[in-house]
Amino acid sequence: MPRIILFSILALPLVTAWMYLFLHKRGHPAVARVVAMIGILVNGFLAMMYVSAGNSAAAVCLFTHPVAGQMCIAMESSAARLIALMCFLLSILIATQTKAQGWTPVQDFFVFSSASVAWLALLSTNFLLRYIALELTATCLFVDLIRVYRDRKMVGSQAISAFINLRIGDLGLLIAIFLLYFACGSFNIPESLRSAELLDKNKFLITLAGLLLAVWVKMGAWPLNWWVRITQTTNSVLHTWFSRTLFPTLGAYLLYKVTPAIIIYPYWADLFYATAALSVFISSFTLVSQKESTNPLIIYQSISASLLICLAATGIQKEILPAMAALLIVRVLGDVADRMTATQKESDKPLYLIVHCFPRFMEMFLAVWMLLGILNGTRALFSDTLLWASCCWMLYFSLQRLGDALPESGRRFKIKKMLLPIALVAAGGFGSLIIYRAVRVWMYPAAVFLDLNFLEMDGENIRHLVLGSGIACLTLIFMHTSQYASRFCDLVNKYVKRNAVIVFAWAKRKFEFKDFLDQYQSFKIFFQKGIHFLYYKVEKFTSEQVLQFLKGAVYFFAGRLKRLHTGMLRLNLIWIPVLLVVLLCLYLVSGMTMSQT
Amino acid sequence: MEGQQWILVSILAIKIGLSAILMIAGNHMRRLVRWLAFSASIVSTLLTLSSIQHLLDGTFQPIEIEYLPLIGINLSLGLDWIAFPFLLTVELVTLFATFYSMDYLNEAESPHIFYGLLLLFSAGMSGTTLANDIFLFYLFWELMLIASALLVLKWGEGEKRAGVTFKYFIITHLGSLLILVAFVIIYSNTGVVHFSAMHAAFDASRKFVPLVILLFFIGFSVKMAIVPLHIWLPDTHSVAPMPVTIMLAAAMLSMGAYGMLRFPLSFITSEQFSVFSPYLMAFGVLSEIYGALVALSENDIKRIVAYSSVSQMGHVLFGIGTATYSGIIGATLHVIYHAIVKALLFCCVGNIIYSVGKRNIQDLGDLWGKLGGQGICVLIGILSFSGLPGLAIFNSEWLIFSSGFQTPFTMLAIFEVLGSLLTAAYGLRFLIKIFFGKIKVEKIRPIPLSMRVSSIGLAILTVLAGIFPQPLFDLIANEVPLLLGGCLK
Repeated sequence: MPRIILFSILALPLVTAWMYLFLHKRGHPAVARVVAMIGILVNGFLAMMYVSAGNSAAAVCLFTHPVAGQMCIAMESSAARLIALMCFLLSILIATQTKAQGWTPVQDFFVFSSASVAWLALLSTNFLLRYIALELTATCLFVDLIRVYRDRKMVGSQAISAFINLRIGDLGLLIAIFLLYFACGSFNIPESLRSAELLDKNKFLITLAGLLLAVWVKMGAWPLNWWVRITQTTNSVLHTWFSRTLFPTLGAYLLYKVTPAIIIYPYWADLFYATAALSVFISSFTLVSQKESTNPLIIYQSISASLLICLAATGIQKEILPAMAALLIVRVLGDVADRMTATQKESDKPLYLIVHCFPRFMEMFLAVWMLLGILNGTRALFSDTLLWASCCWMLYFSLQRLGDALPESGRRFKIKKMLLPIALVAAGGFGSLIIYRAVRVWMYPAAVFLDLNFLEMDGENIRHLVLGSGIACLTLIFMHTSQYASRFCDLVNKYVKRNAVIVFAWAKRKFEFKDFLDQYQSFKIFFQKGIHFLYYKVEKFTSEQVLQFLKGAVYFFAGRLKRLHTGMLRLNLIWIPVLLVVLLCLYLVSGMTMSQT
Repeated sequence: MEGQQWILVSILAIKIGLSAILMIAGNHMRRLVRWLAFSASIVSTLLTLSSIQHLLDGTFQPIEIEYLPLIGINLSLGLDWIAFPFLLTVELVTLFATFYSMDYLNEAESPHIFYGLLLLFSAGMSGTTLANDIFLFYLFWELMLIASALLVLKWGEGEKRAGVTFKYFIITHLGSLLILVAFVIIYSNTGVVHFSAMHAAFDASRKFVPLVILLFFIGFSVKMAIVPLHIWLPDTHSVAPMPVTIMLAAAMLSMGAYGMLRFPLSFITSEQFSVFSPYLMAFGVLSEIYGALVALSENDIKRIVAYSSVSQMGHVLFGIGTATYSGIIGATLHVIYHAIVKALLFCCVGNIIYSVGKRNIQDLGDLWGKLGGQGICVLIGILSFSGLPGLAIFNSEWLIFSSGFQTPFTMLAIFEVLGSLLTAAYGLRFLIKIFFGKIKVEKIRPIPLSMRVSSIGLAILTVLAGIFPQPLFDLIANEVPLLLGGCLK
């Protein structure tokens, strides 16, 4: 029976996909949508049922590969929870999707198919199988994108970019897989990761780089986040599914699974935290600096949220799951509300305020409720770190959402202007900022160390953990200003002009409370200017120059090499390298012959 | 002669005999020639498949015919596990090429001569794999070259075909001459021409071995179109008529790989080979990356696919160069899969050119759904080349990549893996530009049945080969004990 359930979990999204397509072809779109929703929900239910029925995580063999041996899947509790959460989210997306121009049911077909291969990636205990599943997921996205671009009459090079971007990560994973395989002789994931210790330092470094590359790409972290932007250009359930849920979750799960291998050497852990912090900093900064819309911010937050949900769900604390699920529901409701009211924002319909603010209220309520629950609890300090962190994160998120909503609703109900700064402070206050950043910094270590009882093993690791976290924390706090850059973007120019004198004359002036406020703002402006400088000179200018250079180099060499053919042949120059090769080989061979003699 | 020996003779006799008949009397039965050629390729494919059981039973005895007894030269035909995968490749490709030609050559001049030469070309390749001594091997090796050169010269496209044929002939012949020099060195030092006695001869007289190995590698690299010895390939492939291009790209390139496995690798030990290993791997990586880069910047769709052969043969050379169990099996598997996928892509390219009348990628676009399933066929071919799981080339690439990490040259292996990214790039560019590009093509001719069926059949084969790799893997694994002194595991 467990075997059948496992196979069903893998097969059900595919069956759903085909049924969905069939019903659409037959002219029953509404039925198709209902069937898809039910199919996906049942899928999630099966995953939870499998674990809750007490089935062990014993592997079930799918098939035997000539080289890689038995291809098995096993359902761990963490994977089951993830599948259930993702199924739930997908079903909500199906229910609320709006059909963009040029939308076809085939797009959704690929979304459901990708769910099936994503489950395979989550459940596989064999590296080869996981690689296959990840590749197939990327292919689903690619095939879907080329259809989307075709319908929108756009050039499909975007689809190629997305595929290549995802492929980079997969190839990184592939390199790591091979190195681990030849260290332990097995493609079994737990065994392979345990054998990372057997690798020499150079190979370990390459393995680490490969694994992180895979994680980086899937999580859409800078500079390997092209696919996020490309996916965002489509306007269907597809982009929400791929960019906000599927890939970040797969990336985070991968990270969760490979982190024990990464942190074998404390030095690598430091490097990892610092690099992660830097990447998060730059990616958020890049996204915020885009003026065209606020979408990038939403993507960024969604990715962070998916990461958090994933990490929380991957088996750290069972108690947190109901609340997390509730939070997810609320977040989805919020998104749904946003979508529903997107066209109504200019009108004064009361419905807007209700559907827009209620989820935020619910989020806040949940956060406080959980916080109180923990305060009254009796758990040990460390095991509660994650819960604390999660709650604070949610609190912050709620405040931020509230801050986003208030100014607009304020205008709607003619709230006095003096209230707006309060809302802004509530949303972007320094306290919540610190909490948020600290949470982000502590998420990885808390998740990993608590789950592995790592704290008990080696005091040295704690020292490095603290050091790494400190570096990351400083970087992330610095990042704070960029997080609000979009909000203050319009104010900055005016404010800089007005306060320029204040900034430079700061040291000369007497300290007063009123001035303090000014200095505080001036300080922020200073950072703003710095960040804008970084953006325009480093990110935009340098990145573009580097990309241009690389592109030019590729075309230069490719073009020259192409011309080389005819030119070399015409002038008989081809024989020069041939001759050189022959001479070199002869030299080598004669050397070998002499040594044999 | 016993039953299994008749199989070997029949495979060659059918093709050579029918070729002679077609060239002499084919003008009187012009309507029948294509069916006769196709039937011959079906029969020879079936005969090849029927030999599997004999190979498994180990009952194959070579055929010996006295030729020059005074100097100890006999003609010998045989089939073993090293030759079988390549023979199968040749037969499959011939089958699809002759079927594809049925409608392709409707308006061509002297189709009977064309089919006669096509069968002779195929017989040359089959004979190369079936030859059991160096004399016969070289005979068929040159037959393959002469037949293909005549096909390009007579039925090639464009005014440059004479020059291109000349280039093709001279360069590949130069490679053949290096092989001939190696044969002469072997014969003059050991007096051995028969493959069965070669291993012992190599063991006994080690002095000439490195030079001979080097000559073999260079000679066969020309046929495999390894950079920088590939210069004959793009022009020849782009000028040759499509069925010949299919044969050249899908089958003839594999003869180079066969030569490498047969000559140095089946007669020498892994110690003797180890000196050459890093160089072969390095040239494999160079070929892979170079071919992919040029394919990325090329605009002629036929040349893009031609350059991809250079890149893919780089994979094969890399696999052979690793001299590991998975490397050798991966390289052989890659030859077969490459043949299938390359035949598929060239069929599709031929169909596109036939239908649209253009071959510059900048003039093509928006053809998805307008060419009777060709878009899906190209998609399958390109994704297979990109190493997508579930399609043919993934299995062989996996083996080749993994073999690189078994050697001490990890950086080369990493370059090999990362180089495959370029394959995806040029492949997807090819697909997107042709089928989803902005350019609107106005006049589209319907594609004839045989041309369409060929590409669809090959696409199905690509998928099947990817999903069920085990049978082929099991067959190919039998060749490993015959290579490098049987020390690979």
